[in-house]
Amino acid sequence: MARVLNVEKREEFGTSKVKKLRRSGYIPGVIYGHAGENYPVKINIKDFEHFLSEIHGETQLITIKLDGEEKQVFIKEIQRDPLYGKPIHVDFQIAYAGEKIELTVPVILKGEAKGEKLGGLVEQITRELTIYVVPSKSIPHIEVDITDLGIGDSIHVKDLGLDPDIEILEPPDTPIVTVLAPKKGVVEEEAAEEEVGEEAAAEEEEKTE
Amino acid sequence: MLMPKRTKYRKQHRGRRKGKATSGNYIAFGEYGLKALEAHWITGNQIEAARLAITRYLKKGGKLWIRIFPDKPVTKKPAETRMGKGKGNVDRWVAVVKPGRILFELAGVTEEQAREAFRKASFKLPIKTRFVSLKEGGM
Repeated sequence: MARVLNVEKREEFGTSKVKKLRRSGYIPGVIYGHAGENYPVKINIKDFEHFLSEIHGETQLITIKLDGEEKQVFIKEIQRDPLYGKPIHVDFQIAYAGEKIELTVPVILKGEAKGEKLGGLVEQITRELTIYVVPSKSIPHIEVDITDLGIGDSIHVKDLGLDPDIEILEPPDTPIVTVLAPKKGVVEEEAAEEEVGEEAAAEEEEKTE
Repeated sequence: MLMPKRTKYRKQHRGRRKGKATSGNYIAFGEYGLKALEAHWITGNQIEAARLAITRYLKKGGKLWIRIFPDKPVTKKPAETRMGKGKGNVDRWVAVVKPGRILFELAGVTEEQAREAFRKASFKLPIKTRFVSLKEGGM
């Protein structure tokens, strides 16, 4: 079900005015679609953060209410403050029925890998994938079952087996997850190196004396 | 200790450290990260000390990424030298860190272990830091 987010038309443009807007509890954004359907908007920061927590960072078709008019959109990009992580700008892209759109979808791992039980380390290499799909066939996230993965095994984009209507734009050989072999004796080696280093330093000191 | 293998020029100007980190400001590889809250030059020694603190605490577990590299040479004139006679010799290598920069990342450990490892690492660094995790958006 599409969720509804209220937005208002924005008259504030330029760095200083947008900074003032942010101080007053709003964040700037833009809605874009076909030519002539572009609207600068502002959104109440509290409403937006609450909305984001409801959709759990997933890619979903949402409904935006602008001046009483409802539009079906996707959140295309959220710019965040590098220090505090708060949203500072939002891009919405209008979804037209039957028209394919590029979307970034999170990849979620499911289950515990066989290799993990043997001491291996599951490394998720790709956390997001770009898909090209019509809005009605869009998916909020991609689930990858890793229960059969042993040590040294990996899953690539070509192994995902998604709906044929969903086109993944990353190369098929892109790795998604792999199970690394357990490390052995790293700390001991480092300790040994240090001891050798200390001994060498002590010898040098003796020589200088 | 971390330092470049070869450089195009031997010495650099000091530069400026205005603003926030525009790159390397999100968790890219691991699950947990240590974020800088201040601007500073971090030396290769400090990075190495922090890395050791993390690996010693975690022993064999987990995977660590170091997201900064000391690629800037800092020169120093010898003690009791009169001014002039050119720029001093390279004394140390530093990484220019701005607020928001992710310094280290960890994966394959629990959140408590990552927090403690980064707490120990932060004592080796000259700046205030904050623990961040991918669950909270990675920022």
